[in-house]
Amino acid sequence: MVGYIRRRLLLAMPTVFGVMTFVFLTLYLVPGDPVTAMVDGPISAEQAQAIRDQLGLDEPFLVQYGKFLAKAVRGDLGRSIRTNRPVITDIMELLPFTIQLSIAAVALAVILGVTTGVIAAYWRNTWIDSLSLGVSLLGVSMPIFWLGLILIYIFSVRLGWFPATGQGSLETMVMPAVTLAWFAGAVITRLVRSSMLDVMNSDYVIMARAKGLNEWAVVGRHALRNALIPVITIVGLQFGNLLVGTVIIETIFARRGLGRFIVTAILEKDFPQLQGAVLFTALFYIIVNLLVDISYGLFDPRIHFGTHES
Amino acid sequence: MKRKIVQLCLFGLVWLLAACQTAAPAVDEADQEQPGEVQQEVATSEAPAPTEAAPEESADERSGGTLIYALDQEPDLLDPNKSGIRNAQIVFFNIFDALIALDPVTQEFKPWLATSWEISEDGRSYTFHLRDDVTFHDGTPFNAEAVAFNFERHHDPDSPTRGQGAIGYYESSEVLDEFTVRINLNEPLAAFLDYCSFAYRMVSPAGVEQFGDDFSRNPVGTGPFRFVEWVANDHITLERYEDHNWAPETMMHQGPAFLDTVIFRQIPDAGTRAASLENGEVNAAVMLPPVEAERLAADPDFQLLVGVAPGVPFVFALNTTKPPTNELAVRQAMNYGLDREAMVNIVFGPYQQYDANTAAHNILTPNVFGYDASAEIYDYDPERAGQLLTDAGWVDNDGDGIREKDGEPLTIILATWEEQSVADVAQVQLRDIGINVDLRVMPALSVNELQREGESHGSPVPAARSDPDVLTLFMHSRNLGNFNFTFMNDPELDSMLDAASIETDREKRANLYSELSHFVMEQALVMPMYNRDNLVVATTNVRDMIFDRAFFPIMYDTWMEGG
Repeated sequence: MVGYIRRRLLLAMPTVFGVMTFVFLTLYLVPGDPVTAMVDGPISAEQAQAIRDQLGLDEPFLVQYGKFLAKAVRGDLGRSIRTNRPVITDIMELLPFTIQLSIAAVALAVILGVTTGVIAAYWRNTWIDSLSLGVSLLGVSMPIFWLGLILIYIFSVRLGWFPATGQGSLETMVMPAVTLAWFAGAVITRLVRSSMLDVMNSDYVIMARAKGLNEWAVVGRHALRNALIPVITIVGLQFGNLLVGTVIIETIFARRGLGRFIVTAILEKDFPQLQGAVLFTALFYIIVNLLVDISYGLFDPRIHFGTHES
Repeated sequence: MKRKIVQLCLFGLVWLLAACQTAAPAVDEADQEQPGEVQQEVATSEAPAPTEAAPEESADERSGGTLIYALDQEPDLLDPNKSGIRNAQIVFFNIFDALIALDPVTQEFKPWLATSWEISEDGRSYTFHLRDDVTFHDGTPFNAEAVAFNFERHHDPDSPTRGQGAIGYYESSEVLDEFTVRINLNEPLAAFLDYCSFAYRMVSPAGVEQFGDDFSRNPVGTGPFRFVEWVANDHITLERYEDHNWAPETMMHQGPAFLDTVIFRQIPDAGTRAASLENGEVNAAVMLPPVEAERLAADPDFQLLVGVAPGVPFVFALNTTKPPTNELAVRQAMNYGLDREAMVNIVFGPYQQYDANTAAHNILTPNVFGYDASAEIYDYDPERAGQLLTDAGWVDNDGDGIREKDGEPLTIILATWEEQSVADVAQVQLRDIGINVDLRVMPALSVNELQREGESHGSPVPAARSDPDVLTLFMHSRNLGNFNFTFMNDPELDSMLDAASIETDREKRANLYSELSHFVMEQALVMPMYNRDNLVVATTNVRDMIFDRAFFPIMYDTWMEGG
C-alpha cells in the first residue's frame, strides 16, 4: 500500500508540470493585453509600455515561464500583476472555503443520493420510486447557475430563510451546497438504485433473508456495502465536476474561493495568479483521486495494492 | 416496517428544515419622504449648496449608521498613486483627498487640501499653498514634503501608475517651505488642474515607509474615512476619521463624516446583487440589469441614482486604414444608417424615462468641457447612406441584400464585449442599408487585441474622463500600436490634438475641441452609440449620497435615515 502511494505521488509530479506548462502556454497565446485589465479605458502608449516593462510582459514565453518556475521551486509563487499581492497568500486564504464547499457538496450528494437510491430500489415501481427518479431527473437537467438563482429568489428574497451571499457559517453554506450537490446526487441516486437492485437479487442476500436476519441488516449491512463500490468511482469522477461547479457557485453566491479566483485570473490574464491556482487545483485533484482509489480497498477486501513481495 | 421508515424520514426532514431556518433579515421599511423618485445626478447640474450649515442638533442626529455598498468587481489596489480602475477609485476616493475640488456648477476649482495656487507665465509651474491643519490617519502631518513625495511616487519610473495624471509631462516637485510646494512640468498641460482635483490624491509618506509593497492593502490618507480591513474577494471596511475637518466648500457640511462605517462588498453576479439589495444584505448596488433597476425604482423602498459618465461616450472606433472602412463614404454611411434613438429604446428601454443611456451622436458627452453640439451631423438617414454607398461603387448586384464592389461583399467586422447590446441592433440596422456586419462578442482584452492587430474594423472605445484630453489616446499617431484604434496617422490631426492639450486659455481651448469634434465627426472616425450612465440603486433610507462629476459616490455627506 505504501509503495503504491509512493508511486502514485511520483507520477503526480510530471502530471502537474505538464498541466502548468499547458495552461501557461495557452494563456500566453490567447490574444489580449493584460494591461487593459488594469486601467480604466484607453491609456497612452508611453504609459502602457512603462507598465509592460515593469511587469516583464513583453519577454518571450520561455523567459517568463522560466522565471516563474525558478521562483516556484523555492516556494515563491510570485505576486499578482494586478494587485501585487503574493499569490500564495491569496490561495491560502481562499482554498479552505473552496474545500469546505466541495466537501459539503460531496457529503450532501452522497448522503442524499445513497439514501434516495436505496429507498427507490427498496420500493421500486411504486410512487416513491417515481418521485425520487423525477427529482434526480430535475437535478441532471437544470443548469446550476439557474438553479442557484432560483434558490436565491425563493429562499432568500421571498422567504428570507438564508442569506444570498457570503461564507463562514452554516446558513451561508446550505444553498450553495444544495445547488452543487444536486447534480452529483442525482447521478448517485440512479447508480445506487440499479446497483442495489442487482445486489438484492443475488444469492447471498436471499441467503441472509433465509437465515432470518431483519431487513435493516440485510439492506444496510450486506447489500449496501457491495452496492457502493461503483458509487465510489462515480464520486471520484463527480469531484471533477464539483470543482468546476464551484466556479459558478462562488460567483453566483459571492463566496470567497479558488474557483472565482481562477476565472478572474483568466479574464484578466494575471499569469502568476492563474499559475498558482492551477498548481493547487491539479494537486488537489490528484490527491482526491488517490484517496478514492485507496478507499476501494476499504470496501472490497478483494482489492489490494502493490506487489506481494513488498 | 414500511411505516416506521416513512415516519423516520418525515421526522428527519422536519428536523433538517427547523435547523436550517434562521431569522430573516427584513428589508428596511424606513419612513419614506420620497416615494421611489429618481434622483437625476447629471454632473453639471445642481451642486450641493456650499456651506449650507445644518443646525448643530440635526448634524448630530445624522451621525451614525453603516452603509453597505455592493460593487461588481474587486478593486486591485487601494493606492491612488498606482491604481486607475473605477472600482478601486470608488473605494479610495473616501480614503484619500485631493489638492483642489471642481465645483460642478461653476466649473471652477475650489480649495481643498490646498488653499490657493498660482500658475507661472509659461504655464509649466504650479505653486500650491497648503492647509496647515491636516493630519493623515496615522497622525503624521500633511505638508509640502508629503505633496512632493506623492507626485514623485505617482511618476516613479520604476513603478508606473495605471491611473491618470500628467504622464510624460511631469518633471519635478520643489518644496519651497513647510506648506508651499511647486510642481514643474516640461510643457504646459491644460488638463493638469483637473488631474489635481481628481487623479492626484495624497497618501501618507510614513504609511508607505511602513508598509512598502503592501501599502495598497493598508492605505493611509487624509480622507473622511480611514481604512479598517480588506478581506480579499469579500469586502473592504472603512470607518469614520474623527479628526477630519478639511472638506472643500463644495460639500454640504464640514467636520467629520456622518456614517460610522462604510463596507464595500463584491458581488459579481448581477442577479445576486439585486437579490442582496432586496433582502437587505446591502444598501446600494451598482450595475443592475435594466429590468431589475426599473422594477426596484418603482418600489417605494428603493431609489435610482443616475449620472452620465463624462468624456467619450460608448463609440466604435473605426479602423481608417482597413478596407472598406478606409473609405470615407462607408464610414459616413454607417453613421447615417444607425437609428440611435430606436437602438437605445430597444436595449435600454427602461432607462430612457430616467434620461439614462441616451443616444450619442458626438465624440464627447454633453457634460464634459469642449462638447460642441453642432458637431452632431448624422441623423438617421438611410436613403442618404444608401446613396453614399452607391456613389462609391457599392451596389447590390446579386440581390442578396448585401452590396458588393469589384466582387467583394461589403462586410464589416465589429468586435464588442457586451452581449445582446447596441452592436446587435446596429447589425440589423446596417443590414437594411446593405452592409453585412460580422459581429464578434468576446472578453474585453480579446476585443482590444483584435482591433489592435487590424483584424476588426471597429471596436468600442468608451472613456470616462473629466477632461477631453482623452481624445489623443485613440487618435494621435504616437499611440499607434496601443489604443489608437482609429489608426489615424495624420500630422494635421496630431498638431490639433497637441495644441488642445497645452492651451490653458479656456475659451481658446473650447474652440480647439470644437474644431476637433467637427473634424472627427466629418471624417466619421467613430460611430457613436450611447452616453453611458452609471446607475446605482439604493434603499431610500440612504440620504445625500452625492455623486461627483464622474459619478463617483461621495460618502462624506451621506447619512442613514432611521439610524
